[in-house]
Amino acid sequence: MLDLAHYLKSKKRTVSMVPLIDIVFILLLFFILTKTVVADKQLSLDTSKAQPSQHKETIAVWLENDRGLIIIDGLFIESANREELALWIEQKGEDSNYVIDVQEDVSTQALITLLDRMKQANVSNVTLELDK
Amino acid sequence: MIPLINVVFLMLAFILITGNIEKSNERTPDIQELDIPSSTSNLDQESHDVTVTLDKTGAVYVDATATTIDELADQFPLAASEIADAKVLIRADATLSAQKTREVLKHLRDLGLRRISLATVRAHASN
Repeated sequence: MLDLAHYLKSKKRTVSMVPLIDIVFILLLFFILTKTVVADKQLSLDTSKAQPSQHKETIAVWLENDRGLIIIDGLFIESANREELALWIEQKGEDSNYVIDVQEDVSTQALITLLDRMKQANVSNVTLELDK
Repeated sequence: MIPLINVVFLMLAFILITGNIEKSNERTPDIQELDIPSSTSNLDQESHDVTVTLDKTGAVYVDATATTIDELADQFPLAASEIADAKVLIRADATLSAQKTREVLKHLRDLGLRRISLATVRAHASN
C-alpha cells in the first residue's frame, strides 16, 4: 500500500498532446464539412414572356419596397403577412398568371423573398416582368 | 506509433478535403465577397454550364471574365446551338438592386436561355 502511494506520488504527470491533436482535427473536419452541407441552394426562375390566355387571368404584382409591400390590382398588401397574402391569392386564384414588377430601389433579396411567399401561397405561375 | 499514424491520417484527410473545397470555391480576385440571398427553396444547386456573377457594386462576370450588362451577349461563352439546353446560374448579391438582376435576366432570356436559376442559401421559413 505504501509502495503504491509512493509510486503515485513520484510519477511525473504529463498531458499527452497526441489525443488532444486528434480531437482538434476531428472537430475541425466536422465544422468544415457541415459548413459546406448547409450552403448552395437554387431558385429556378421563369423568365418566359407572359402569354395572354383566355382561360387564365394575368395579374400584375408590384413590389414596392424591401419590407415586402406589394400592390396587386391597386390594393396594398404586406407580403410578409402570410395569411393576408394567401387570402388575396385565394381570391385572385392560385392558377392565375402572376407577373412581378419591382420598384427602382428594391433589393434582390426582397424579390427572392416575394417569390418565396408566392410559392408558399401555392401560386403555380409566377413570372418576372422583364420587358419594361 | 499508432497515435502518430492517427495524426498523419487526419492531416491527410484535412488537406484532401480543404483542397477540394478551395477548388470548388475558386473565384477571380476582382469579384467582391458575395452575400448570397436566402430563400426557403430546398432545391439543391445543380451543375450548370455558365455562372453569371453580380457583385454588390453591380459589376458583372461571366464565369471568371469581367464584362458589362450591354456586352453580356457578346461575351457569352456558349455557341447559339448550345444555348437552348444550357443551364445558367446567377450569383447575385442580396443587396444588389433587383432592377440590375432583372436587366441581366432580360439579356439572358433574349439570348435564348430558358434554364436560369438564382443561387440562394437556405433560410428558415418564417411568417
